[in-house]
Amino acid sequence: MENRFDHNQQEEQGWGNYATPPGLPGRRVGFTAPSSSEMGLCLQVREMLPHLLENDGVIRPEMARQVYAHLSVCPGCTAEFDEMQRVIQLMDKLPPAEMPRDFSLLIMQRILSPDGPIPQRPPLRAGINLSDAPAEISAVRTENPETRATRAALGQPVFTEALSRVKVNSSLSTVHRVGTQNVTQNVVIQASRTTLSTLQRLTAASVLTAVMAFMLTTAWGRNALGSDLDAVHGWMQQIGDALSKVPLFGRMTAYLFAAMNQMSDSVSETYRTLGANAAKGLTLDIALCACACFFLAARRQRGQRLGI
Amino acid sequence: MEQNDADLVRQTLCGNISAFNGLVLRYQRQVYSLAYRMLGNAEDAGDLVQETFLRAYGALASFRQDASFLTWLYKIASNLCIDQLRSRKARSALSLDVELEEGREPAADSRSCGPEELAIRDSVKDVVQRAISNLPEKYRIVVVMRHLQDMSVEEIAKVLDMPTGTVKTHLFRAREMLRGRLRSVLEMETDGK
Repeated sequence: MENRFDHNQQEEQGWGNYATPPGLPGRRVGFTAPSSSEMGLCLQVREMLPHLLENDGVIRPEMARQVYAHLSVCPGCTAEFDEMQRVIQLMDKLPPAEMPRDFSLLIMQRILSPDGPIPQRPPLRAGINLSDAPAEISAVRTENPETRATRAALGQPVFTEALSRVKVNSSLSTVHRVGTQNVTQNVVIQASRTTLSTLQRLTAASVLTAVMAFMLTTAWGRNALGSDLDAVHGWMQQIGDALSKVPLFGRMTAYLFAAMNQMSDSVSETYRTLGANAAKGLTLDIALCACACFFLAARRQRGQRLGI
Repeated sequence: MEQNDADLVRQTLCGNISAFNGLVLRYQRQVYSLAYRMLGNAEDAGDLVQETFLRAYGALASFRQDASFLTWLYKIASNLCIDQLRSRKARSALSLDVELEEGREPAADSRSCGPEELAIRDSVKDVVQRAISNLPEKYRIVVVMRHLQDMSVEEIAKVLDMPTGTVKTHLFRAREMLRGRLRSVLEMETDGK
C-alpha cells in the first residue's frame, strides 16, 4: 500500500515552517484514495491536527502539505481544525491578570517580619573558599546600602552601626537574625570545614594507625588483642556499661565499643587458630583499610568542594 | 546593568535581602498570572504568590542552577496550586455531603448552567476563564502554562516532572474538553460573522 505521508527530503528544503498554511490547492494533491477509505483518511488527518497546531516537529513538511491539501477538500476536518484554532485564539484573547499594586512590598514585608521564613544554610559549593571569607564577613559587618534602602522603604529597622553594636541591641534582634546571623554562621562553618576537615581526617587516621601499632608492638596490646579474651571482654564490658548510662552519646559509644569487641573477637579467633603472625597481619590490614577509607573520603570531599 | 538571576540568588544567600526583592519584582507577574488562572480569583492568587516567594526564600540554598529561577518558582507555585485545588475539592465534597444529609438541594455549579446561559450572563472572557477553571487540575495546569504563560512543552515537562509525551496528551485532552465547553461561544462567534 502506498504511504501517503512518506517523507521527501528534497521537497523539505526551503520550507521548514509549515505552521502557516501554504496556498490551499483547489484540487486534490497527493490523495488519490478511493472514496471508501475517506473516513480512514479523515481519522488519520484528525490525529495529526494537534501536532500541526503545536508545530512540534512530529509532522514533517511534506506530511503537513498533504494534510492541508486534505483540509481544502474535507469540510468536516476543516471545521474541526478551525474550532481547535479558535479555542486557542479565545485563550489568547484573555487579558493579562491584573496584579495588586505594591505587591512585592507585601512579600518583602512578610519575609522580613519576625515570623518570616528563616533561609536554609547554603550547602558547601565550589567558589566559596577561605579567600572569599574576609570579603563576605566585611560585607556583613556593614550592611549593604541597597538592603538598608529596602528596609527604609518597608518601614523596617535599619542597620546604622557595625555588627558588634547591632548584636547587643535587642530591639534589632530580628533584623540581625535575618540579615547576618546565617551569613556569619555560613562563613565560619565553611571556613572551618574547608581547612579543618582534611586535617581532622589526617589526625584521626594517624591516631588510629598509632593505636594499632601500639597494640601490635607491646605485650599488653597483643594480650588485649588476642591472647586474653576474657580480660578484653571484661574491659570492654565495663567501659560499655559505664558509657551506656549517659543518654544518647553513651548509647552511641556503647555501640562503638560493642563493634570493637566484635573485632577483638575475630582477631583473637584468628590468633588461636592461625597463630600470632596471622593475627598481626589481620590487625595491620584493618588499620590500613581504615587509613585508606579516611584518605579516600577526604579526597572525595575536597573534589566535591572544588567542583571536580 | 541588570544583574542575572544567579548573581541575585548568590547575593541573597550572602544576606542582601534587596537582591531577593529584585527577583520578586522580576517574576511576581508571571507567578501571579499562573496562580490567577489556576485558582480563578485574585485573593487566592495573591496569597499563593506570597507563599511561593516565602518558600523560595526559605529554600533558596537548595536551588541548583541547573534550571532557571523562573522554572524553579513555577515548580513551587504549581505544587501549591495543585495542593490548594485538592483541598478545595475535599472541602466542597464535604459541604455537599452536609447539604445532602440536611436534605437541602446542592447549590448549582456553573457547569450545570447551560453554556448559552453563561454566554448571555457573562462576557466571553468570563466563560473562557470558567471553562478553564472547570478543567481537571492536571489538564488545567498544562493548558494555562502552554497558552496563557506561553511556555514550551519542554519547559512544562521540566516544571511538572513529566515526560513531554504526557504533557502533549494532557494538552490535547484539555483542548478537546475546552472545545466541547466553549462550543456555544464558538457558534455565537460564527453566527456573528
